[in-house]
Amino acid sequence: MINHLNAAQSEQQRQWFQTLITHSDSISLGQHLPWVKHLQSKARQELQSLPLVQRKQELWRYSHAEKLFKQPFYPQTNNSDNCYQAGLESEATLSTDSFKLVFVNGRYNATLSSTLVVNNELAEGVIVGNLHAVLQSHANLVMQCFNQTARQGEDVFSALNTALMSDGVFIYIDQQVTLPQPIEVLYLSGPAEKSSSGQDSDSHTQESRKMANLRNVIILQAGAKLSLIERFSGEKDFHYFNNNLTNVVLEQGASIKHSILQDESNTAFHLNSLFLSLFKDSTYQGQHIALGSSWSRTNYTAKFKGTGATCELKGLYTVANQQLNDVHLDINHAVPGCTSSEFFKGILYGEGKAVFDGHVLVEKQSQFSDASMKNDNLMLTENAEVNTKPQLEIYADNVKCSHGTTVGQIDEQQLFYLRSRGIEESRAKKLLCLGYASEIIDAINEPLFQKQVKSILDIRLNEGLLISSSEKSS
Amino acid sequence: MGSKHQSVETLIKSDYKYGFVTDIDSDTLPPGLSESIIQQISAKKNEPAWMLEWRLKAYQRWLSMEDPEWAHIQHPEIDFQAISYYSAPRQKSATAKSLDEIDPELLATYTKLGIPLEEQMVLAGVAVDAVFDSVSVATTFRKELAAAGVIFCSISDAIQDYPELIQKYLGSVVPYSDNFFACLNAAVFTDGTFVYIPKGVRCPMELSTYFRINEANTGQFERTLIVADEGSYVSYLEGCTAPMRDENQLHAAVVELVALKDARIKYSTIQNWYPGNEEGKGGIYNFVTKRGACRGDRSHISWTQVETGSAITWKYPSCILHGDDSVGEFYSVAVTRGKQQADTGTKMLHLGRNTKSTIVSKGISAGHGQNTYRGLVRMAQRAENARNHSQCDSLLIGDQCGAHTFPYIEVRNPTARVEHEATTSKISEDQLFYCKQRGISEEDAVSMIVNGFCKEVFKELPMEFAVEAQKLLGVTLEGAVG
Amino acid sequence: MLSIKNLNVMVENKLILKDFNLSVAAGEVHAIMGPNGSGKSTLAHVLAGKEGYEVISGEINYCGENLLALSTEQRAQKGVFLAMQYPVELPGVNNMMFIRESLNAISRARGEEEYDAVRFMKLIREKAAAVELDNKLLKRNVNSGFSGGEKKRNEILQMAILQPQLCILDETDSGLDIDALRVVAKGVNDLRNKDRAMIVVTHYQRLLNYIEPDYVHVMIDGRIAASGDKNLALELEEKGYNWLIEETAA
Repeated sequence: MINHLNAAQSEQQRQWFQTLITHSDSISLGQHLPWVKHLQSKARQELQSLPLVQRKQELWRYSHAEKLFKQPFYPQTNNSDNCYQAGLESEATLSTDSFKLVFVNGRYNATLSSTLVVNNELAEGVIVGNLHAVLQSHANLVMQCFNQTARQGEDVFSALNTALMSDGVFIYIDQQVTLPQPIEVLYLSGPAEKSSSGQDSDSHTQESRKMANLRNVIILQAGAKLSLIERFSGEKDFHYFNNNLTNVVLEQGASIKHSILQDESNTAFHLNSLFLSLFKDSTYQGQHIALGSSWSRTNYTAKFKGTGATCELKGLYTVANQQLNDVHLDINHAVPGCTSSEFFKGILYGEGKAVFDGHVLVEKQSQFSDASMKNDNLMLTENAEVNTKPQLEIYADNVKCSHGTTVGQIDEQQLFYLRSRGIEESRAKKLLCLGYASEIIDAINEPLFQKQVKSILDIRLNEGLLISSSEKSS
Repeated sequence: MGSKHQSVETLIKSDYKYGFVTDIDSDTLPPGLSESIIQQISAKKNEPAWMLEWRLKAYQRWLSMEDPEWAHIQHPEIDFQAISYYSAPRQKSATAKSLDEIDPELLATYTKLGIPLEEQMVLAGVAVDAVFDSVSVATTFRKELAAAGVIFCSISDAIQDYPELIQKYLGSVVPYSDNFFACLNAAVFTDGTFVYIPKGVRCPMELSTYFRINEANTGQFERTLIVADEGSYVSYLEGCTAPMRDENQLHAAVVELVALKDARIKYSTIQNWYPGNEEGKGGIYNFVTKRGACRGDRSHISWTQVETGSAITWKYPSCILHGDDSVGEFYSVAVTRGKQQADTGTKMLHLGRNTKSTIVSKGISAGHGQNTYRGLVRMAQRAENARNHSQCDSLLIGDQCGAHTFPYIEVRNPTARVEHEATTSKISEDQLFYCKQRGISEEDAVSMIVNGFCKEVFKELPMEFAVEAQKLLGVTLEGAVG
Repeated sequence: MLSIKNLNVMVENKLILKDFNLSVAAGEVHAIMGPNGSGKSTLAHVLAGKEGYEVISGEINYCGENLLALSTEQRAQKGVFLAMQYPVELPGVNNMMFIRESLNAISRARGEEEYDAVRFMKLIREKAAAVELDNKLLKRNVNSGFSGGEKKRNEILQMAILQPQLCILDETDSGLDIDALRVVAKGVNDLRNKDRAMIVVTHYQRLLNYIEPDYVHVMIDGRIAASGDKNLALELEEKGYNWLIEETAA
């Protein structure tokens, strides 16, 4: 295995980042605000010096990114034209019992979003909107929140997000306020309608290789409660790259249910970095379902900053042909008496690759920490690959820490049992896969989200296991 | 079990009882590493040209390599020019053919270490090769073993006497270019043990090598090669000690095991190099490459290690499971206390079909000790029905130490199964109270609980050594609690 | 043998035993009853020297010695035995080896000869049979995977082997079915003699049908609210603890 980048590869990668920066001149997010300008120019500088992506870096040991750097992308800006229409209405109206923010090809779409959200009239003490708009109305608050969350990503993609951030979700919930309904954020991607042409000749290339850098800031003040659902969805064969970065700050006793469904297009690149700060007695309940993308990576970085806090992550990922699905977890018990538990399950039904890299750090002062990490994988196909690395780094003795990981197959006896009852093999496999996934799916405590996940997982498994519609049961 | 208790009692307060220096006239090369030094080592050993050529190739390669930095250990940079690469006690001939030719001081040293070389006194059924600084000083039971067709001798002798076996197998499992320290070893190795078990032979006794560093400012670079031919069996044990010295000394050994069809090798280590003092001054840097190749079908390699010594331990006894139905095992107890650091584990590379591996790692951290398990389990694409089970448990004693687990699992075959579990615990107050309520002292209670924690590994050791290991553990943890 | 005077004990900054007094002479069996949280188990733990209990004032005299000045293992070596409510598991530690370790520690303290393997095996086989403990459990690790009843029988077995002066049984009947209870009680009764004292801590009167006490004390809120003979236990069985609680409060 070649671990070092050669000179040509390094040059290609630097060039890839540089091209993006050069094409980003028209970004207009908060350019009138000096602090935003400063933040972005600093990030551009850092991009020059931050280490490049290579396998020699432990963080990139298994998630090969060569494929990404071979394709040019063009940053999505607020000036970009975007008229993707197909299927939008149905996607956006999938649920009616939530507040909604919709982004189409990285741009905020006010028409499809809930009116209440746009007008910031959700509830007393709640400010929700797209970053662009909130920067106009609450510039100081946004600045404070950014100050609170700044300097978290020390990697090229986080810096890239900061340098190019064009919009995002801003949620601020005041002390003791509970939102009665979930907030739902949709990120939809697809080709523009032909009618939007009439621009210069390379507009088509640019249109089809867009990169969106959305920045989300979620602040829950003491005792606040929120359920947030994010869903990424893309049209088949559409090429694009979503590089999202989300900061979540939970003040004392705040709690969030944060559900993410990644169902990007089969040709998409997806990178989502989440930075969580948990203060005293706060609770983060994360659910992460990753089914789509050609190349997908999710980074959770959680840091406990007050005692008695809880971070719980449950995840499911599937891997189809030529697909990479990568989950990186970094949990830092920096204070005593916190609980973290992570449980991720993977189903590999195609010739792709799964990566799980979890790291729990219990610092010296963090007695009475409780940390558990688990990763299980079900491997159905030849030429698939699982790389899993659950790590514990412990410097305190009065702690309860464990991790476990398994890689296995469908139980032949179970499969035989189902087939002996007349169930066709691929259908039987699907049932067993659903059974395997149920440990994660059934534990989803946001009914709206659970429903979405179930229906999309069903579709993906049918595709993956080549089940024709006639075999499908309802 | 009854004697165990007393032994712990009597050994109390003896910090590191192997820390003495033997006053013996030595033939030592000046510090420094160069082609000329390598040529001198080779000349002293009267080696054939191919051996020198191999060493020089390794040296050239080493010059282009960097000291690895990925391990979870910290140490000041090693000055490789300050080390002496050859030191031998002066004696009448290169390796004594009979015990009469050995300097009585040397014999006394080994007796003091509890390793009597007088054959009539040797533990029943154990043959010993004693390596003192850079050279092998005595190999016992050679005649008896020869009768069974077993070759058990120093690797220097083997290079002279069995060149075809050495040329065939040396570097075949750990190539000279493998890693920084293995490469250094290939260039400068001075002695070590060679074992060959012919087809179908079950080695009639345990084989054992006892390594001793004596001279100051020397490194020990021994090389061990064990070849088990088809259908044979051997159980081999190594032990190590060194005097207490304030400076760090480097031990960079290479061990290669080859198991052919239906052969089985059981390799046990009790590593008790000088760990440095409580403040972390002195001690051995134990940077060792150990690897076994299960070349033939149904071959079996089992590593068992009890690591209580060394300032830093960096070793990953590994198995390459080529043969179908071959089996690799790794059982480890690693104890770190004081300022000791250990980064140890294994690699199980499953290439053949129905290959199986088991990993049981028990890490005990006390004082300011840092204990890391680092392991790789790889199921290659053609490893049909391969199986692995790993259990990594850490026990923390005190709140100044650390216990870390870094497993890497790579699976490329859909019929392979891998299970990995890891836990971290401490000795609970309730457990200590229960023992004390039954009249057992806290120190005995800790020793009892720790031995219980390590039981799965100790049961893999040959009987005599299991008792040794338990005693050693008791002594190592002495004063670590409270 | 045992004399507790004006004992005050705090646990986590809460006063649990309040001016507690109790005298136990050799040969006597004292039952300590009381509702949950009245301080029964605290008393048992303080006698055995468990950490986490802060003795604020008062004294405990055991066979002419200040018990509070002794470490846990010294108390055990001088004959204080606590049969625990929740015996802990010791993974990897063989049960027989553990008991022998304990017996020899106590023998040494008494200036007696240690038990060699043969003598010990004979002793443990005999005692295990008496408490109907399966020999297989002797070979297992201490309490690991034992059922509730097996754990309690293992405690009584240890008591029979160690031959203590003062036996404290902390809720030994909890979680036992009637057969196990009978076996445990028989083990205890076999140990009764004129030189040995026993303190039987229990929530229910049921155990006292099998182990007949000389004295019954009822603990309410950290002190003894009533004392009597075995009839007091029967009265409690009938009327519950509430009338005593009310009386104490009044």
